[in-house]
Amino acid sequence: MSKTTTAGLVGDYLHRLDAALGPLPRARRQQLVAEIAEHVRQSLAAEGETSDDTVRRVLARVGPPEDIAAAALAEEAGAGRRPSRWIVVGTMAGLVAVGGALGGVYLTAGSPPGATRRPPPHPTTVLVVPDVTGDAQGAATRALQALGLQVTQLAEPSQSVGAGVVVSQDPAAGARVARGQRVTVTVSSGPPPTTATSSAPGGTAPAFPLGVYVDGPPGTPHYYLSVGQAPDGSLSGALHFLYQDGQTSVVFTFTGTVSGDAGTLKPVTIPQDAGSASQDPSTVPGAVSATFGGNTVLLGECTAYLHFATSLQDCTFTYSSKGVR
Amino acid sequence: MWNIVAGGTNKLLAQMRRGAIEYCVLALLREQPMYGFELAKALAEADGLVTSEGTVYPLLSRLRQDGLLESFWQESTLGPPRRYYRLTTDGRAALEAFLVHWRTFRDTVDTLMERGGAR
Repeated sequence: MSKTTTAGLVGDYLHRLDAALGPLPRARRQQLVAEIAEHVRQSLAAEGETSDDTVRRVLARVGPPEDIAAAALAEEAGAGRRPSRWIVVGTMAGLVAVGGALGGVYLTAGSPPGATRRPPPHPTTVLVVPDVTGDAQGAATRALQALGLQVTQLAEPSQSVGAGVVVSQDPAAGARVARGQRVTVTVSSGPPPTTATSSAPGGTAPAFPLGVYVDGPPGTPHYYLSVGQAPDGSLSGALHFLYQDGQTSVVFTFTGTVSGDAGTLKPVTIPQDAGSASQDPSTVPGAVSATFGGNTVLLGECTAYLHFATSLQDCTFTYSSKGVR
Repeated sequence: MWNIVAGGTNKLLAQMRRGAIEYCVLALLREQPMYGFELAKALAEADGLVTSEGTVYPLLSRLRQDGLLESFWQESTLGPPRRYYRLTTDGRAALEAFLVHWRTFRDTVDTLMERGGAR
């Protein structure tokens, strides 16, 4: 089977769903897309294989995105007949696992709570899609958004394209689209992680697990940090979040260095719409960084950029290797 | 003429399903919490109750907003944590009330159908 095709089928489906859910409030839309993505992941896991036919069959069972959107809009209109209340969930959690299984990560054009989203102006204007392949993720996103296009990002490991650089886009450059239409950019998350047991240069054993499933304390997200070590000893990796009740999913890509038994990662890309962080990381003082060693990971500035913690102490997580294949 | 009747029947069925489906969700959760995937599967497998698995999620969301269900996260040995749903006290009360009304309604309709010789 082709992982790319599978990821593409699921990605296309989720994009259609996201687009069809356009009239819903952003938070509701993102939550629903995340739930359907998780449903698809579990369905595929239950099938035990992901041939294109299986993926198509699973998606057919989930139903046309337009039907789901119609149901959601009808429910939205009917909600609130009873006094609603906030339900406190134990753990704001949900791993971006579609990506783990399919070789690509679906990202809603995510915003942490509080971020605003501009409505696309003048939906009837026809535009020519520019070529953003080879551009940095942030620059590509800004260029497309400046034209009034919506952007969905997918992350995919790549041997040949550096982390944070756009590998491909859909529709392709030159396509004529209406303003407000969605363009999917696939961004490299760097080389696929190698196995943790590979010997490191200079006899230094890598101090880092190469896939870490991180459990935050109750009320914080779960996320997946994958880190690979290059032959020259440098680190690169990606941090995948899916907030479900926090309503956003984001991928940060990192490069890093090893020092003794601790390591430091600094961001290469910051997802669009991540608060004020839709900027070049180099221009954002103290932008999200991660430090890890022993069994803990400290995410710097997570209070400001990730919007889930109220103090830096909340940004320290203990990791374990569970749930990672 | 046939088309009009059939169309009318479909519309009626759709309305009846719409009215009953949320109580079917509550009933599935009567004994134990379930996670979204299980619920969607169970409802989709019940003949014709939902048009597709995906349409269950908007319903779950609304029931949660209405305070009939609540959700919680539970670790899974097979992957990421799952969002489970369980009845709230209000949800349980709504289900019990529906059951009383439903049984009365069903019996009344059955009785009249039989008296009219419909079966």
